[in-house]
Amino acid sequence: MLTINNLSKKFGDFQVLEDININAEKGQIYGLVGSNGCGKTTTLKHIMKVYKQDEGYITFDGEEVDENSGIIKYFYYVQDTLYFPYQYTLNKLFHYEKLMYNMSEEKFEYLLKYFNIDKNKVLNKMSKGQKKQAAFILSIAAQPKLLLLDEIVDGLDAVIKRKFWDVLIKEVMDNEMTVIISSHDLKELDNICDKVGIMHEGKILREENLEKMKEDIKRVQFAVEGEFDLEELKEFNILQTVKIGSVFILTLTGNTDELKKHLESKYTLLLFDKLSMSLEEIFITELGGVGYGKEK
Amino acid sequence: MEKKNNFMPMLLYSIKEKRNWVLLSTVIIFLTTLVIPYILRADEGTFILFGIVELFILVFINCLVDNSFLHNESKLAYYRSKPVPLRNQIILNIATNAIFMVYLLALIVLSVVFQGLDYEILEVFKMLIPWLLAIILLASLSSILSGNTLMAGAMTIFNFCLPLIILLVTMFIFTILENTVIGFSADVLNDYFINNIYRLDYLYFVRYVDNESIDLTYLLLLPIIMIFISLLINKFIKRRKNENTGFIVFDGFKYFVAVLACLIIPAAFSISFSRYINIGSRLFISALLAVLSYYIIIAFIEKSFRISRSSIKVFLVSMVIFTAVTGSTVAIANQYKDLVPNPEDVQMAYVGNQRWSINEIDRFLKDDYKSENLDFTEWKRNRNIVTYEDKDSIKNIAELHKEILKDQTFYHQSNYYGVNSFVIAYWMKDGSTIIRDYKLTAQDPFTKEHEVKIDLANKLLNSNDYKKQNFYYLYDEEYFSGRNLYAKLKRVNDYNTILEDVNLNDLRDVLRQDIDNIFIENDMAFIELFMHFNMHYDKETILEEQGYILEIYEKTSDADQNYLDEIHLKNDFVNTLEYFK
Repeated sequence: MLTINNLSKKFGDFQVLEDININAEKGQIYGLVGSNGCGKTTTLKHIMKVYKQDEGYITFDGEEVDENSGIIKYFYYVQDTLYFPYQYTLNKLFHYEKLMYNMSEEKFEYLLKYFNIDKNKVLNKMSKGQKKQAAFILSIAAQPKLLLLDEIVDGLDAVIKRKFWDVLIKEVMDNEMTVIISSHDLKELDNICDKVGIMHEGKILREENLEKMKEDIKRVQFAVEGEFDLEELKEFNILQTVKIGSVFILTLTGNTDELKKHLESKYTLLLFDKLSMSLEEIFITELGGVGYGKEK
Repeated sequence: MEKKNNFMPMLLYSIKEKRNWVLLSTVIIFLTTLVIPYILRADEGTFILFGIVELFILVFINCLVDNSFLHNESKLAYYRSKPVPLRNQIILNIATNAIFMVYLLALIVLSVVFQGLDYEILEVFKMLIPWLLAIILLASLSSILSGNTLMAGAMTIFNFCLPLIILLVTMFIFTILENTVIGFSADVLNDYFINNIYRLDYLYFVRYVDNESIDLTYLLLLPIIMIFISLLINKFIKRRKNENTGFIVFDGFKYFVAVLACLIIPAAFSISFSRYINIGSRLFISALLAVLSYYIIIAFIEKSFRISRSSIKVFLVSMVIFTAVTGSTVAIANQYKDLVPNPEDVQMAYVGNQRWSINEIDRFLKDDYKSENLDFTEWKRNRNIVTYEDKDSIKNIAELHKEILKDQTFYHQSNYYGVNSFVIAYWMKDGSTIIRDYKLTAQDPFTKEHEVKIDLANKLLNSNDYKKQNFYYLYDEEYFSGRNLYAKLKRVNDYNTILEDVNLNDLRDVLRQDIDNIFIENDMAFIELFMHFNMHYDKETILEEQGYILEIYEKTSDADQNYLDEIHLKNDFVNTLEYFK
């Protein structure tokens, strides 16, 4: 289990991370989502000890993550801006990384075929998508306990994305690998994440199991006979209100059945539907709550 | 997934990765040190030295390239995310570069062997190896301290030259001292500092290049320096946060560089113009230069023309410290400015205008000239150095010193060309040395103070010490006996025509008589004392008078002559001129 406790970091005078708390269970796929520049990559780099935090600490399976603790040997990080050593082929890089990890040759060869990647092609001459696949193949072949993927599916076509998720889910299921994925593609994460942390301006706004989050944040649409005053609903925790014609669409936390009862007690309900919310919608709602995207 | 003990395999891998560099370096070194000199049939030694310079550059570039992963965000993230601690990665680079260095040195040795050159050329290795090792470690240290590879290169050179920069700043303080405390010379202080306290010849291993064999100091100093730099590397690895915050990632080091670098330009200015611009103007200009240099350096390092409050604070504090150190040095020196030693405590003294002579004597006393296998008298004779050991002479020098402290002028003739550095040195019986350098101003008319100085100078010129050393071929019986000494008479405007060639034995008495007479009541005695005899007579004066010179030489065989001295026979040499008539 990966836990990040009260992690804070300043770059000069700029507070990049503030009191970050993250808990990712063993065998869980954790989606780290957030606005641009909110500190997702910085958080991942702290886990890998690329950066050193000013405050807070990180543990994995109860052991504090430190550059020299040795626990880091179970981590693998695929960064957003990929770097490959000059003139290296995937095969050469595999053998180089073999000096540091117990790389699985079997998995490597299987994934090469699965993604149809030429292992003898110089990595820096590959397309962006091929490079992502190459980096992903290496990360899986390294068989880490904690895999950090930063914008891994960014720029990939739908077929490759699907292949990525298939491989990842299989690895998680087979080896109980913990995966932290930072991504902007919330629709993709919606399908595979067990848990989500929403970041904004260096803080974690909300961290929850995705199912629970979806249970907590609900959307209903309703219409009543006659005039409706929103003030009537002030006892409910309404996050967002949209009115289209005579139909109100509310995003709220709490029990929607009570809302329905409340409305029925005061109005004649013409329409009341519970709508399912996607991760993207939850994300927009959460960030909207802190004013993001609503600047004038 | 489990990490193995992977240092050795990674080192081997790292060396293997160097194969293109190795190939290129081999071609460069062999081409320069073997092929080109062979084709040109040129001096192979010079080309070996070229090869050594190339080796230095190759190792330096390699170190920077290997450590450049610290300066690129994605590269850094890639390597730092691997289960190899930063310390191990740096050690790996150091080890790889050390092996690369050994390989290149071996190539140079092979070139020397193939060409059958004298192995003495490899003496330079005694200095080169420590330099290369230091460069490898300093490149790693500088890369850790910097956020940019070019800056890391610049910082490597800065760190390598740091002892020299400190020396420059010290010299800056000495030039201020020279201009504020009478008798103190920046050059003398600097010589003393370099020769006795701040031994850069040891630190840079320069002294071992010329035949000096490797000694215990070398064997101790080399590992001490390497360990010191390694400890700094270890310390800064622990403290490096890796975020790219500028050209230099440690604020402390940034200010250290800026403060020292901003002193280089004013120091260089002050040292260069110490004799031409008065101290007030010089300090004012130096302060302006320091402020400007600091601003430019900070603006460059911080990539902003807006200087931060903390940068201003650091500069002000540094300048206060610099002023305090300089002020204290001046205050301490002031306490000794009137010091004239008790003649009883003096073993030997020197007066003249040649500070070089004092350094030479010091070196002789430290056995630096042991290899020449000469006694002190003979050694001094070869260098035209005169010292005084006689009690009366030392007493007269002390008196003269007191007079100089009272009045820093001397009487001069109109055609005197104006050397005005007057140096007094005492070698004390307790082993210490006192050196003073006074800047004397030539003055006309003649004053009472001049008379006292001339009187004391006359006493010194008539002393046995002086004559025996300056005119050894006339006054040193030990030297004179058993030698074939001769004198050639020539006209000053016709050096090729020998008018007379006489045995000095015949001329000795009349020449001694003239010299004795000249020094008695000579109103130019003071100038005579601190300049070489007759030097204040220019060619015109000699031509105006008799225009004769006397060349003294020793006939070592029928074919060989050993030139000893030249005396300008002016009108005062009555007896000698009469002899030749």
